[in-house]
Amino acid sequence: MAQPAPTDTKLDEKVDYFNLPCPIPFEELHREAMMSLKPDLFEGMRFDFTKMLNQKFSLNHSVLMGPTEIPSQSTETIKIPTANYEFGATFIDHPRLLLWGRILTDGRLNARVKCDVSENLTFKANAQLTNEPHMSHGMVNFDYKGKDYRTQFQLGNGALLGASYIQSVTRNLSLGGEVFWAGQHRKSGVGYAARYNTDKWIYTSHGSNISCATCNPSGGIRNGFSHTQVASTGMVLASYVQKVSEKVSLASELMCNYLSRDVTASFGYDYILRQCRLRGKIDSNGCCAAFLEERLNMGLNFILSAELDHKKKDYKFGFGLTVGE
Amino acid sequence: MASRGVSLKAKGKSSKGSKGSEDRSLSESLKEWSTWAMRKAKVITHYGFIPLVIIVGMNSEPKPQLSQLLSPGFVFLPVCVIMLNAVASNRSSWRNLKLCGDQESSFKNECD
Repeated sequence: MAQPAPTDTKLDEKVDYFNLPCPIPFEELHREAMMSLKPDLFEGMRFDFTKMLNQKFSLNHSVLMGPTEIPSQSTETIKIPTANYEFGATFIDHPRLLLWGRILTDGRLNARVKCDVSENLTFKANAQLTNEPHMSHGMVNFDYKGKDYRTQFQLGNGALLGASYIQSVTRNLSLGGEVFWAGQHRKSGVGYAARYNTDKWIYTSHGSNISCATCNPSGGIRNGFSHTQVASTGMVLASYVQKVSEKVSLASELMCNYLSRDVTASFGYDYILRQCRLRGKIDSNGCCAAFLEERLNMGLNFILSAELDHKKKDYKFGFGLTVGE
Repeated sequence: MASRGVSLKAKGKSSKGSKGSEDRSLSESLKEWSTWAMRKAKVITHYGFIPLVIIVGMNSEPKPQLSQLLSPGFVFLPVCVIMLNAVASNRSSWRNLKLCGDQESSFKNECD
Protein backbone atom coordinates (compact mmCIF):
# COMPACT_ATOMS: atom_id res chain seq x y z
CA MET A 1 0.00 0.00 0.00
CA ALA A 2 2.93 2.35 0.53
CA GLN A 3 4.18 2.43 -3.04
CA PRO A 4 2.23 4.17 -5.78
CA ALA A 5 -0.05 1.83 -7.72
CA PRO A 6 0.85 0.94 -11.31
CA THR A 7 -1.13 2.66 -14.03
CA ASP A 8 -2.88 -0.38 -15.42
CA THR A 9 -4.91 -1.11 -12.23
CA LYS A 10 -8.01 0.67 -11.00
CA LEU A 11 -6.07 3.05 -8.76
CA ASP A 12 -4.35 5.51 -11.02
CA GLU A 13 -3.33 8.03 -8.40
CA LYS A 14 -0.68 8.11 -5.74
CA VAL A 15 -1.78 7.51 -2.19
CA ASP A 16 -2.10 10.99 -0.82
CA TYR A 17 -1.35 10.74 2.88
CA PHE A 18 -2.70 14.18 3.58
CA ASN A 19 -6.03 13.49 2.05
CA LEU A 20 -7.22 10.29 3.69
CA PRO A 21 -10.88 9.59 4.26
CA CYS A 22 -12.40 9.93 7.67
CA PRO A 23 -12.54 6.57 9.40
CA ILE A 24 -15.59 4.77 10.76
CA PRO A 25 -16.32 5.61 14.40
CA PHE A 26 -14.59 3.34 16.88
CA GLU A 27 -17.77 1.76 18.19
CA GLU A 28 -18.97 0.95 14.69
CA LEU A 29 -15.83 -0.87 13.62
CA HIS A 30 -17.53 -4.21 13.52
CA ARG A 31 -20.81 -2.99 12.09
CA GLU A 32 -20.87 -5.07 8.92
CA ALA A 33 -20.04 -8.20 10.86
CA MET A 34 -22.66 -7.37 13.46
CA MET A 35 -25.31 -6.94 10.80
CA SER A 36 -24.82 -10.48 9.57
CA LEU A 37 -23.94 -12.25 12.77
CA LYS A 38 -26.17 -10.55 15.29
CA PRO A 39 -29.64 -10.00 13.94
CA ASP A 40 -32.39 -9.02 16.31
CA LEU A 41 -33.49 -12.53 17.33
CA PHE A 42 -36.56 -12.87 19.52
CA GLU A 43 -38.90 -15.48 20.89
CA GLY A 44 -42.65 -15.43 20.72
CA MET A 45 -44.89 -13.15 18.77
CA ARG A 46 -43.92 -9.65 17.87
CA PHE A 47 -45.99 -6.94 16.33
CA ASP A 48 -44.51 -3.55 15.47
CA PHE A 49 -46.47 -0.64 14.22
CA THR A 50 -44.76 2.56 13.15
CA LYS A 51 -46.82 5.60 12.36
CA MET A 52 -45.06 8.48 10.65
CA LEU A 53 -46.78 11.69 11.57
CA ASN A 54 -44.27 13.76 9.72
CA GLN A 55 -41.04 13.35 7.79
CA LYS A 56 -39.20 13.71 11.06
CA PHE A 57 -41.50 12.49 13.78
CA SER A 58 -42.90 9.00 14.24
CA LEU A 59 -44.64 7.01 16.93
CA ASN A 60 -44.05 3.36 17.44
CA HIS A 61 -46.23 0.73 19.14
CA SER A 62 -44.75 -2.65 19.71
CA VAL A 63 -46.25 -5.75 21.31
CA LEU A 64 -44.15 -8.75 22.27
CA MET A 65 -45.72 -11.86 23.75
CA GLY A 66 -43.56 -14.75 24.60
CA PRO A 67 -41.34 -16.47 27.10
CA THR A 68 -38.71 -14.31 28.70
CA GLU A 69 -35.64 -15.75 30.33
CA ILE A 70 -35.09 -14.86 33.90
CA PRO A 71 -31.62 -15.07 35.40
CA SER A 72 -31.30 -18.12 37.58
CA GLN A 73 -28.50 -19.61 39.60
CA SER A 74 -28.81 -23.08 38.08
CA THR A 75 -27.52 -23.95 34.62
CA GLU A 76 -31.04 -24.52 33.27
CA THR A 77 -32.78 -21.65 31.58
CA ILE A 78 -36.04 -20.69 33.20
CA LYS A 79 -38.60 -18.90 31.11
CA ILE A 80 -41.68 -17.06 32.18
CA PRO A 81 -44.32 -16.11 29.65
CA THR A 82 -44.74 -12.37 29.53
CA ALA A 83 -46.50 -9.84 27.39
CA ASN A 84 -44.97 -6.44 26.86
CA TYR A 85 -46.20 -3.34 25.21
CA GLU A 86 -43.65 -0.77 24.22
CA PHE A 87 -44.45 2.75 23.18
CA GLY A 88 -41.88 4.79 21.40
CA ALA A 89 -41.41 8.19 19.90
CA THR A 90 -38.69 9.13 17.45
CA PHE A 91 -37.73 12.53 16.22
CA ILE A 92 -35.06 12.66 13.52
CA ASP A 93 -33.97 15.99 12.18
CA HIS A 94 -31.14 14.68 10.07
CA PRO A 95 -28.34 15.39 10.70
CA ARG A 96 -28.67 17.84 13.51
CA LEU A 97 -30.83 16.21 16.15
CA LEU A 98 -32.05 12.74 16.95
CA LEU A 99 -34.35 11.93 19.86
CA TRP A 100 -35.35 8.33 20.37
CA GLY A 101 -37.31 7.04 23.32
CA ARG A 102 -38.98 3.73 24.14
CA ILE A 103 -40.93 2.93 27.26
CA LEU A 104 -42.17 -0.49 28.33
CA THR A 105 -45.12 -1.48 30.48
CA ASP A 106 -42.82 -2.37 33.37
CA GLY A 107 -41.55 1.17 33.48
CA ARG A 108 -38.23 0.74 31.74
CA LEU A 109 -37.19 3.63 29.56
CA ASN A 110 -34.57 3.50 26.80
CA ALA A 111 -33.62 6.93 25.61
CA ARG A 112 -31.09 8.18 23.09
CA VAL A 113 -30.19 11.70 22.15
CA LYS A 114 -27.76 12.72 19.43
CA CYS A 115 -27.07 16.33 18.73
CA ASP A 116 -24.55 17.94 16.39
CA VAL A 117 -23.28 20.86 18.35
CA SER A 118 -21.11 21.99 15.48
CA GLU A 119 -19.94 20.50 12.22
CA ASN A 120 -17.31 18.34 13.86
CA LEU A 121 -18.49 17.97 17.42
CA THR A 122 -21.35 15.65 18.32
CA PHE A 123 -22.97 15.11 21.65
CA LYS A 124 -24.66 11.78 22.32
CA ALA A 125 -26.45 10.54 25.39
CA ASN A 126 -27.92 7.18 26.08
CA ALA A 127 -29.87 5.96 29.11
CA GLN A 128 -31.69 2.86 30.32
CA LEU A 129 -33.77 3.83 33.31
CA THR A 130 -35.77 1.48 35.47
CA ASN A 131 -37.92 1.77 38.53
CA GLU A 132 -35.65 -0.55 40.45
CA PRO A 133 -32.88 1.17 42.34
CA HIS A 134 -29.29 0.77 41.17
CA MET A 135 -30.29 -0.78 37.87
CA SER A 136 -30.27 2.35 35.74
CA HIS A 137 -27.46 3.23 33.38
CA GLY A 138 -26.63 6.42 31.61
CA MET A 139 -23.82 7.42 29.31
CA VAL A 140 -22.80 10.65 27.68
CA ASN A 141 -20.41 10.83 24.70
CA PHE A 142 -18.63 13.68 23.05
CA ASP A 143 -17.34 12.90 19.56
CA TYR A 144 -14.96 15.03 17.62
CA LYS A 145 -14.42 14.32 13.96
CA GLY A 146 -11.21 15.56 12.45
CA LYS A 147 -10.04 15.38 8.84
CA ASP A 148 -8.81 11.82 9.00
CA TYR A 149 -9.37 10.89 12.61
CA ARG A 150 -12.09 10.65 15.19
CA THR A 151 -11.93 10.91 18.93
CA GLN A 152 -14.55 10.18 21.51
CA PHE A 153 -14.82 10.88 25.19
CA GLN A 154 -17.35 9.00 27.31
CA LEU A 155 -18.75 9.59 30.73
CA GLY A 156 -21.13 7.18 32.39
CA ASN A 157 -22.72 6.49 35.71
CA GLY A 158 -20.80 4.48 38.21
CA ALA A 159 -17.85 6.78 37.54
CA LEU A 160 -17.22 5.35 34.09
CA LEU A 161 -14.76 7.31 31.97
CA GLY A 162 -13.57 6.34 28.55
CA ALA A 163 -11.80 7.75 25.56
CA SER A 164 -11.12 6.37 22.12
CA TYR A 165 -9.22 7.49 19.08
CA ILE A 166 -9.17 6.16 15.55
CA GLN A 167 -6.98 7.33 12.69
CA SER A 168 -6.90 6.53 8.99
CA VAL A 169 -3.39 5.36 8.27
CA THR A 170 -3.81 4.63 4.59
CA ARG A 171 -6.84 4.79 2.34
CA ASN A 172 -8.05 1.39 3.48
CA LEU A 173 -6.49 0.88 6.88
CA SER A 174 -7.45 2.59 10.07
CA LEU A 175 -6.04 1.99 13.52
CA GLY A 176 -7.44 3.00 16.84
CA GLY A 177 -7.26 2.60 20.55
CA GLU A 178 -9.40 3.09 23.60
CA VAL A 179 -8.93 3.42 27.32
CA PHE A 180 -11.55 3.32 30.00
CA TRP A 181 -11.84 3.39 33.72
CA ALA A 182 -14.79 2.14 35.73
CA GLY A 183 -14.67 3.66 39.17
CA GLN A 184 -17.41 1.70 40.81
CA HIS A 185 -15.94 -1.69 39.97
CA ARG A 186 -12.36 -0.47 40.19
CA LYS A 187 -11.47 -1.61 36.69
CA SER A 188 -9.48 -0.06 33.93
CA GLY A 189 -8.92 -1.27 30.43
CA VAL A 190 -7.04 -0.62 27.26
CA GLY A 191 -8.10 -1.71 23.82
CA TYR A 192 -6.63 -1.59 20.32
CA ALA A 193 -8.40 -1.98 17.03
CA ALA A 194 -7.60 -2.16 13.37
CA ARG A 195 -9.85 -2.11 10.36
CA TYR A 196 -8.90 -2.81 6.79
CA ASN A 197 -11.57 -2.37 4.18
CA THR A 198 -11.68 -2.61 0.45
CA ASP A 199 -14.70 -2.63 -1.83
CA LYS A 200 -15.06 -6.36 -1.59
CA TRP A 201 -14.05 -7.27 1.91
CA ILE A 202 -13.47 -5.89 5.36
CA TYR A 203 -11.23 -7.18 8.08
CA THR A 204 -11.35 -5.87 11.62
CA SER A 205 -9.66 -6.90 14.80
CA HIS A 206 -9.98 -5.63 18.30
CA GLY A 207 -8.07 -6.59 21.41
CA SER A 208 -8.67 -5.39 24.90
CA ASN A 209 -7.25 -5.94 28.29
CA ILE A 210 -9.02 -5.13 31.49
CA SER A 211 -7.21 -5.04 34.78
CA CYS A 212 -9.21 -5.06 37.93
CA ALA A 213 -8.55 -4.98 41.62
CA THR A 214 -11.32 -7.45 42.34
CA CYS A 215 -11.98 -10.20 39.85
CA ASN A 216 -15.60 -9.78 38.86
CA PRO A 217 -16.98 -10.17 35.35
CA SER A 218 -17.85 -6.81 33.93
CA GLY A 219 -20.85 -7.39 31.65
CA GLY A 220 -23.06 -4.36 32.05
CA ILE A 221 -20.42 -1.63 32.11
CA ARG A 222 -19.38 -2.44 28.62
CA ASN A 223 -22.77 -1.60 27.15
CA GLY A 224 -21.58 1.56 25.55
CA PHE A 225 -18.29 0.29 24.18
CA SER A 226 -17.46 -1.53 21.04
CA HIS A 227 -18.60 -5.07 20.76
CA THR A 228 -17.51 -6.82 23.87
CA GLN A 229 -20.49 -8.56 25.27
CA VAL A 230 -18.82 -10.75 27.84
CA ALA A 231 -15.44 -9.37 28.67
CA SER A 232 -13.99 -10.49 31.93
CA THR A 233 -10.35 -9.89 31.25
CA GLY A 234 -8.40 -9.94 28.06
CA MET A 235 -10.27 -10.46 24.85
CA VAL A 236 -9.36 -10.49 21.20
CA LEU A 237 -12.00 -10.25 18.52
CA ALA A 238 -11.35 -10.58 14.82
CA SER A 239 -13.92 -10.45 12.09
CA TYR A 240 -13.91 -10.74 8.34
CA VAL A 241 -16.73 -9.82 6.02
CA GLN A 242 -16.69 -10.64 2.33
CA LYS A 243 -19.18 -9.08 0.00
CA VAL A 244 -19.55 -11.86 -2.52
CA SER A 245 -22.02 -9.97 -4.65
CA GLU A 246 -24.54 -7.18 -4.24
CA LYS A 247 -27.02 -9.56 -2.74
CA VAL A 248 -24.81 -11.85 -0.69
CA SER A 249 -22.30 -11.17 1.99
CA LEU A 250 -20.58 -13.62 4.26
CA ALA A 251 -19.07 -12.90 7.63
CA SER A 252 -16.97 -14.75 10.11
CA GLU A 253 -15.81 -13.86 13.55
CA LEU A 254 -13.41 -15.27 16.08
CA MET A 255 -13.47 -14.27 19.69
CA CYS A 256 -10.79 -15.44 22.10
CA ASN A 257 -10.81 -14.68 25.76
CA TYR A 258 -7.23 -15.55 26.53
CA LEU A 259 -7.48 -15.43 30.28
CA SER A 260 -10.55 -17.57 30.69
CA ARG A 261 -9.50 -19.73 27.69
CA ASP A 262 -12.78 -19.31 25.92
CA VAL A 263 -12.85 -19.27 22.14
CA THR A 264 -15.89 -18.81 19.96
CA ALA A 265 -15.96 -18.88 16.19
CA SER A 266 -19.01 -18.00 14.19
CA PHE A 267 -19.89 -17.87 10.54
CA GLY A 268 -22.81 -16.06 9.07
CA TYR A 269 -24.41 -15.02 5.86
CA ASP A 270 -26.61 -12.17 4.79
CA TYR A 271 -28.74 -12.43 1.66
CA ILE A 272 -30.41 -9.21 0.63
CA LEU A 273 -32.91 -10.16 -2.03
CA ARG A 274 -35.66 -8.18 -3.64
CA GLN A 275 -38.51 -9.36 -1.45
CA CYS A 276 -36.72 -10.60 1.60
CA ARG A 277 -33.63 -10.43 3.71
CA LEU A 278 -32.28 -13.64 5.17
CA ARG A 279 -29.54 -13.77 7.76
CA GLY A 280 -28.16 -16.81 9.45
CA LYS A 281 -25.25 -17.87 11.53
CA ILE A 282 -23.66 -20.89 13.10
CA ASP A 283 -21.47 -20.87 16.14
CA SER A 284 -18.85 -23.06 17.66
CA ASN A 285 -20.93 -23.14 20.86
CA GLY A 286 -23.43 -25.30 19.01
CA CYS A 287 -25.82 -22.45 18.35
CA CYS A 288 -27.36 -21.77 14.98
CA ALA A 289 -29.75 -19.00 14.21
CA ALA A 290 -31.66 -17.58 11.29
CA PHE A 291 -33.68 -14.45 10.75
CA LEU A 292 -35.98 -13.78 7.84
CA GLU A 293 -37.70 -10.54 6.93
CA GLU A 294 -40.12 -10.94 4.09
CA ARG A 295 -41.74 -7.98 2.42
CA LEU A 296 -45.35 -8.89 1.85
CA ASN A 297 -46.46 -5.53 0.66
CA MET A 298 -45.41 -1.91 0.85
CA GLY A 299 -44.84 -1.24 4.51
CA LEU A 300 -45.81 -4.74 5.64
CA ASN A 301 -43.04 -7.10 6.67
CA PHE A 302 -43.29 -10.59 8.01
CA ILE A 303 -40.47 -11.69 10.30
CA LEU A 304 -39.39 -15.14 11.39
CA SER A 305 -36.65 -15.81 13.88
CA ALA A 306 -35.15 -19.08 15.05
CA GLU A 307 -32.29 -19.79 17.41
CA LEU A 308 -31.26 -23.32 18.30
CA ASP A 309 -28.75 -23.72 21.07
CA HIS A 310 -27.94 -27.40 21.12
CA LYS A 311 -25.47 -27.17 23.95
CA LYS A 312 -27.86 -25.55 26.40
CA LYS A 313 -30.91 -27.27 24.88
CA ASP A 314 -32.61 -23.92 24.42
CA TYR A 315 -34.75 -23.50 21.32
CA LYS A 316 -36.29 -20.21 20.48
CA PHE A 317 -38.72 -19.52 17.69
CA GLY A 318 -40.46 -16.30 16.92
CA PHE A 319 -42.71 -14.81 14.33
CA GLY A 320 -44.11 -11.40 13.82
CA LEU A 321 -45.34 -8.63 11.66
CA THR A 322 -43.94 -5.15 11.16
CA VAL A 323 -46.29 -2.53 9.85
CA GLY A 324 -45.14 0.87 8.76
CA GLU A 325 -42.02 2.18 7.10
CA MET B 1 -25.23 5.91 42.42
CA ALA B 2 -27.46 5.97 45.53
CA SER B 3 -25.21 3.48 47.33
CA ARG B 4 -22.19 5.69 46.66
CA GLY B 5 -24.08 8.63 48.14
CA VAL B 6 -25.01 6.63 51.25
CA SER B 7 -21.44 5.42 51.82
CA LEU B 8 -20.06 8.91 51.33
CA LYS B 9 -22.57 10.28 53.82
CA ALA B 10 -21.53 7.65 56.36
CA LYS B 11 -17.86 8.45 55.85
CA GLY B 12 -18.65 12.16 56.05
CA LYS B 13 -20.48 11.82 59.33
CA SER B 14 -17.66 9.89 60.98
CA SER B 15 -15.00 12.29 59.70
CA LYS B 16 -17.05 15.27 60.81
CA GLY B 17 -16.96 13.93 64.33
CA SER B 18 -13.22 13.30 64.27
CA LYS B 19 -11.85 16.17 62.12
CA GLY B 20 -14.46 18.89 61.64
CA SER B 21 -12.45 20.81 59.02
CA GLU B 22 -14.25 23.20 56.70
CA ASP B 23 -13.14 22.00 53.29
CA ARG B 24 -14.15 18.44 54.20
CA SER B 25 -17.73 19.51 54.84
CA LEU B 26 -17.70 21.58 51.64
CA SER B 27 -16.68 18.64 49.46
CA GLU B 28 -19.10 16.29 51.17
CA SER B 29 -21.99 18.72 50.82
CA LEU B 30 -21.03 19.12 47.18
CA LYS B 31 -21.22 15.36 46.74
CA GLU B 32 -24.57 15.28 48.54
CA TRP B 33 -25.93 17.98 46.27
CA SER B 34 -24.68 16.24 43.16
CA THR B 35 -26.25 12.95 44.25
CA TRP B 36 -29.54 14.74 44.96
CA ALA B 37 -29.33 16.43 41.56
CA MET B 38 -28.64 13.13 39.78
CA ARG B 39 -31.60 11.50 41.48
CA LYS B 40 -33.92 14.34 40.50
CA ALA B 41 -32.55 14.32 36.96
CA LYS B 42 -33.21 10.62 36.71
CA VAL B 43 -36.83 11.01 37.80
CA ILE B 44 -37.34 13.95 35.44
CA THR B 45 -35.85 12.05 32.53
CA HIS B 46 -37.84 8.95 33.32
CA TYR B 47 -41.18 10.74 33.26
CA GLY B 48 -40.43 13.57 30.92
CA PHE B 49 -38.35 12.26 28.03
CA ILE B 50 -41.11 10.75 25.93
CA PRO B 51 -43.45 13.76 26.42
CA LEU B 52 -40.51 15.96 25.42
CA VAL B 53 -40.00 14.04 22.18
CA ILE B 54 -43.72 14.23 21.46
CA ILE B 55 -43.82 17.98 22.07
CA VAL B 56 -40.77 18.57 19.87
CA GLY B 57 -42.28 16.39 17.16
CA MET B 58 -45.73 17.99 17.25
CA ASN B 59 -44.14 21.41 16.85
CA SER B 60 -41.98 20.50 13.87
CA GLU B 61 -42.89 21.47 10.32
CA PRO B 62 -45.28 20.36 8.76
CA LYS B 63 -47.38 20.34 11.92
CA PRO B 64 -49.16 17.04 12.45
CA GLN B 65 -52.73 16.96 13.75
CA LEU B 66 -53.50 15.99 17.34
CA SER B 67 -55.84 13.25 16.13
CA GLN B 68 -52.94 11.60 14.32
CA LEU B 69 -51.29 11.13 17.68
CA LEU B 70 -54.04 8.79 18.82
CA SER B 71 -54.92 7.35 15.47
CA PRO B 72 -54.10 3.62 15.35
CA GLY B 73 -57.20 2.59 17.31
CA PHE B 74 -56.95 -1.10 16.52
CA VAL B 75 -53.72 -1.34 18.48
CA PHE B 76 -55.38 -0.18 21.64
CA LEU B 77 -57.46 -3.22 22.45
CA PRO B 78 -54.64 -5.78 22.95
CA VAL B 79 -52.57 -3.01 24.46
CA CYS B 80 -55.16 -2.26 27.14
CA VAL B 81 -55.42 -5.94 27.99
CA ILE B 82 -51.66 -6.20 28.33
CA MET B 83 -51.39 -3.07 30.41
CA LEU B 84 -54.12 -4.20 32.79
CA ASN B 85 -52.32 -7.50 33.19
CA ALA B 86 -49.09 -5.67 33.76
CA VAL B 87 -50.51 -3.44 36.45
CA ALA B 88 -52.29 -6.28 38.21
CA SER B 89 -49.70 -8.99 38.21
CA ASN B 90 -46.26 -7.81 37.11
CA ARG B 91 -45.33 -5.81 40.14
CA SER B 92 -45.98 -8.50 42.71
CA SER B 93 -44.86 -11.52 40.70
CA TRP B 94 -41.62 -10.01 39.38
CA ARG B 95 -40.55 -8.81 42.80
CA ASN B 96 -41.27 -12.19 44.37
CA LEU B 97 -39.30 -14.00 41.71
CA LYS B 98 -36.36 -11.72 42.06
CA LEU B 99 -36.18 -11.84 45.83
CA CYS B 100 -36.71 -15.54 46.39
CA GLY B 101 -34.26 -17.35 44.16
CA ASP B 102 -35.08 -20.81 45.43
CA GLN B 103 -38.77 -20.36 44.80
CA GLU B 104 -37.99 -20.77 41.13
CA SER B 105 -37.03 -24.40 41.53
CA SER B 106 -40.16 -25.09 43.56
CA PHE B 107 -42.23 -23.36 40.87
CA LYS B 108 -40.72 -25.67 38.30
CA ASN B 109 -41.43 -28.72 40.42
CA GLU B 110 -45.05 -27.66 40.74
CA CYS B 111 -45.41 -27.47 36.99
CA ASP B 112 -43.97 -31.00 36.58
